[in-house]
Amino acid sequence: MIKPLRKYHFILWRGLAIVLPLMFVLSIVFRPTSIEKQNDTEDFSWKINAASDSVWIVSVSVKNPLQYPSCLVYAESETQKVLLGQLEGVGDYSFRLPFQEGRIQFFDAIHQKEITKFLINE
Amino acid sequence: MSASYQSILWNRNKKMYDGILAGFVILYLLLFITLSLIGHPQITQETLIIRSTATLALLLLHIILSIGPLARLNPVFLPLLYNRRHLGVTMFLIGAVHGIFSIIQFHGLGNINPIVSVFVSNTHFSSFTKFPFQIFGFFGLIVFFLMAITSHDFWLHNLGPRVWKTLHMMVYFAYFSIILHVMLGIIQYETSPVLVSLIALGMISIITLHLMASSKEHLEDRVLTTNSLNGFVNVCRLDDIQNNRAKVVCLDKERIAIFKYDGKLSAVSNVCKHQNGPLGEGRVIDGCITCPWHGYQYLPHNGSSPPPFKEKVATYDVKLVGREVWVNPKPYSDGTEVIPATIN
Repeated sequence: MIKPLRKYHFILWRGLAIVLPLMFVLSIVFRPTSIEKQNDTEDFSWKINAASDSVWIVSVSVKNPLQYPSCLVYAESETQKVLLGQLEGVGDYSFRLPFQEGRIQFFDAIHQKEITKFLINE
Repeated sequence: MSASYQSILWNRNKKMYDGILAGFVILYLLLFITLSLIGHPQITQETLIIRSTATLALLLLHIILSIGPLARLNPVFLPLLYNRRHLGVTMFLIGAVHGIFSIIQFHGLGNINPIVSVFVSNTHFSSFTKFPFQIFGFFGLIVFFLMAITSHDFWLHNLGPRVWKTLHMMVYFAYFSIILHVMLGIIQYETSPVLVSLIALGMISIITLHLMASSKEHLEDRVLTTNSLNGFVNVCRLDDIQNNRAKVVCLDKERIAIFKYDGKLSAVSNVCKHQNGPLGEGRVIDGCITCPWHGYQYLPHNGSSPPPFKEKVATYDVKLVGREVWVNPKPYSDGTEVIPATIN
């Protein structure tokens, strides 16, 4: 190594020697004492995130094998109903919301039956 | 050292080293998967892949980061330094498997691009412990990717040693990023103290080794201010230099290596043109100064690599007064021939 890089090493590791243990301790000290309550049912959990003022995302986690032949996800407002996608099995799904008010509906298209629903602004 | 580019310069040691590395990787994965299945029979294949590759890549990263300071503290570890690139590329590939499987598992479903989802699915940017930890892993992996694709000598030659080395020192930023990825990720929900203790142990070991090595280097970089006469500086006694070895001193901006060989003394820049390796820690082999890092060679009296190689380093005037060695800190241009001092 050349002298400037050795000097860079010298300064960098002194900085990391302070910052890394500090972050380590903080991440332990501020660990959540209990799991945050999520909106969920026996089979699903969901949460809404605002990625920005205009981009809202619904994250859905399917916890158990689906008991329905189909499970469509709709975003529904007073004036429109938009198909977001389909839940096909256990896993984590993310859908971008077309609007920020109304509700999310899980719908069994085969039996034409609502599985569950929740408000976007709940 | 080669006159042309080859994908890998295989030799017996490199094959043995890669064999041990491959064996270790396979053994680790088998052991991790077996123990996980015994402890958690319900674990899914995806989770097994994500966890086994994560822990293996983290372990390899700690080994990689230990090699540099260990080699600076003790030359016994130099062979590991020589073979470190394959370890780095292996670590990246294993980390990439972890990253790709995680993105597929946690972001692959839905109507959002999985890469975009990594950045927007968790928006607790103002919270410390809820901070989207996957972003740290993503940036760490990008750095490892850049390092892996530029690890060949082709890129070293075309980028230049200084730019290349600076790029590869981003590994420290990546390490910082990966530690945050782990601490703000799995550790937030891990109740067993084993993983936390292992992370702490690894981190403390890496920091300690680097502090020890950089302190040692810092001391050696102190400019020597002993007797000077007609531009020459008294650097050491002749007996301080072992035969076919060098004494390294810092007289100005950079270190100088004074080699004793064949009843002569020659002084050259301590910085190898290949990867800025410490020439003064190498030996004179077959009449050539041989870099301890990757075996690049230079003739002691003119600092030039023997044909057909074209690397050259700066040379210095050296003289012997009685048993005292004197060096002029003013360098000649790279590859300039200088008459060696003769030992009577």
